[in-house]
Amino acid sequence: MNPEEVEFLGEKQLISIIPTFNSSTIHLVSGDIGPFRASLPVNVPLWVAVNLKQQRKCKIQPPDWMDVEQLELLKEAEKASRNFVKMPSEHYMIEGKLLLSIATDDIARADEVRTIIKDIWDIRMAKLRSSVNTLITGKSYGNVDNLTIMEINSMRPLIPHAMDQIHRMKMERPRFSTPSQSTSLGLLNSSTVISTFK
Amino acid sequence: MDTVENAEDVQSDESEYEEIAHTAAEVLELMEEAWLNEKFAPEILPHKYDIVECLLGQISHVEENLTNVGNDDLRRSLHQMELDRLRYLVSSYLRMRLEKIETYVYFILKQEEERSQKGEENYLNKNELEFAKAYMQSLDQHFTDRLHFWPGNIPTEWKNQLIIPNIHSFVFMKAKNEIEGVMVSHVNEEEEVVDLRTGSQILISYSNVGHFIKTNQSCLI
Amino acid sequence: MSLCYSYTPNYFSIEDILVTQERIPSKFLVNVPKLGKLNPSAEENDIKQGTALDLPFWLADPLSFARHPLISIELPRVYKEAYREILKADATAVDLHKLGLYFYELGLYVKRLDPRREVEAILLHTFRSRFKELMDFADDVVCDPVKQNRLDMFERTLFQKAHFSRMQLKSWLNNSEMRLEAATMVINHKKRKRIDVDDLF
Repeated sequence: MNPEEVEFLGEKQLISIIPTFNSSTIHLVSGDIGPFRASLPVNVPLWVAVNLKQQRKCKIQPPDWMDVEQLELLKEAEKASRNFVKMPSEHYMIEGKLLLSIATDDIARADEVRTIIKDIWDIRMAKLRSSVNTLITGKSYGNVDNLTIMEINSMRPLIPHAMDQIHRMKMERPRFSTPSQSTSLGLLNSSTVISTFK
Repeated sequence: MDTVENAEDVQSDESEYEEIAHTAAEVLELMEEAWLNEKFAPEILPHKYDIVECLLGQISHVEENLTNVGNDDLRRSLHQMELDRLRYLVSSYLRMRLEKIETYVYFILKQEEERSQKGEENYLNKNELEFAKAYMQSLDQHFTDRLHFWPGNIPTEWKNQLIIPNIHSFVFMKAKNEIEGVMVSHVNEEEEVVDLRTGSQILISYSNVGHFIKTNQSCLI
Repeated sequence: MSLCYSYTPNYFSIEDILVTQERIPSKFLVNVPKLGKLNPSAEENDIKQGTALDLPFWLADPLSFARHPLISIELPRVYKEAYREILKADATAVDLHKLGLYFYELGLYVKRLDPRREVEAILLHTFRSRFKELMDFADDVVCDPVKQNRLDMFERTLFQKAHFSRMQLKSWLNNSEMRLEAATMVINHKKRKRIDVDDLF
């Protein structure tokens, strides 16, 4: 899966906006959004929020966790823990990336927020890398609890493919020769071999 | 400040639309799940054409309604964007299935044959089955044409050499409910038993968990 | 291609055809008339019993496995003890490419010639000990061709797929303005300090 496809999945996450326009409910297939009343907060999917923000039709209300103090705590917890800490949002990287690129004016201390999110990501990536070793050196399965889809996807295709190949190495290889070919000297009469030496 | 004025006359039959919209959101969730499962499962999964058709119905329904909406209407651009998203999902799903059918055509048709004989539900939809058969025929034709030039007896060996999906492929799986007793097989060693909590995520060989995907107890991520 | 599977050989796989084209040491157990051409260093028409030749695996394997075998085959030298010892000592220091284009794949075919399973063990050991380096290497934006040349074909395929997806991820992370044009590879990726944690799995 490429990162854009993961982003696609993350974009259905609901996010609160303050519209600058009025509109009755819009009946999207993915669910109703609105009604929109200027300056009254309303929840919409992330892709709608991004679109409205780009048209300057709303202000974004950043999710609670997108806050320097909270993120610092999260970062410390992530550093201290041997396991992966549960993230406040299943798609924290996607929300972070999208909102920090289009709505910096709506996020307090946006630059700091950006840095901490990236730090958390890097800490988790480093943990992931060092844990991969145990997986490769002998386990038949790996627990990936609390990893977000974007993080899991970052392991693809290398980790699962490497596991596939280790499994192949342990398997008994079926013989190259097929039963029909492996019958005594008669082999030399088979068309395959003779035609090769003409 | 933009105000959408002709908001009310967009959906003529508001109450009916409401009802569909409610279930449509669930259908969309199911489609996303089917998309991911198909994407990561090494073998072809039982088809989900009921979901596909329902979603396609939604798409044309929205398209119809959009003809009454002005070009500069906010609703139009949002609906349009959503339609693009839905179309992507559906076509990507169908395309992945076609790719699997093309790669494993002989194997899949053989399995389908066995399923029919046992009276089991087919994995392919009617159209897919038709496509698979036509594709196999043209492959057969191609080989017959090419091997015509073979010196001596025309080899038939290739017909017995099916390309088979590697069901031992490792996949990432999420348990949708509690699953007890997942057997993890080891080569040359005893099996290990793992219990999964709801929401547990695990990297594991598809051969150990394929049936949990088909019985909707877990999904691939 | 939207689907991405790992290498599993099948009858039509070009890689598999190339792997089985690799030669392995064979010895004729009987006189074979009119096959002298197989032996480039001899003028005779026939192959004499006892002649030692390197034959492609696809030919040698069926000939050796027949009910009345024509030849006997043995492990290629790179899977024998001397090389196994080198790989055991430090597999990361070895230029696998020089040991044979398809070190792992051919190894999988010939491992049954070693009933003590030491070949299998060395394949696993080699792959596992070289894996971390491969993973780090796939993360480098600019690939060092020298390093790449030391991989066998199978490692190379794995590396290329991994590298491609790592670069996709990097460009997604770096592409912070929501531009619509295709993201180019980003060269100036800052290396972050790596933290050491215990193994998790």
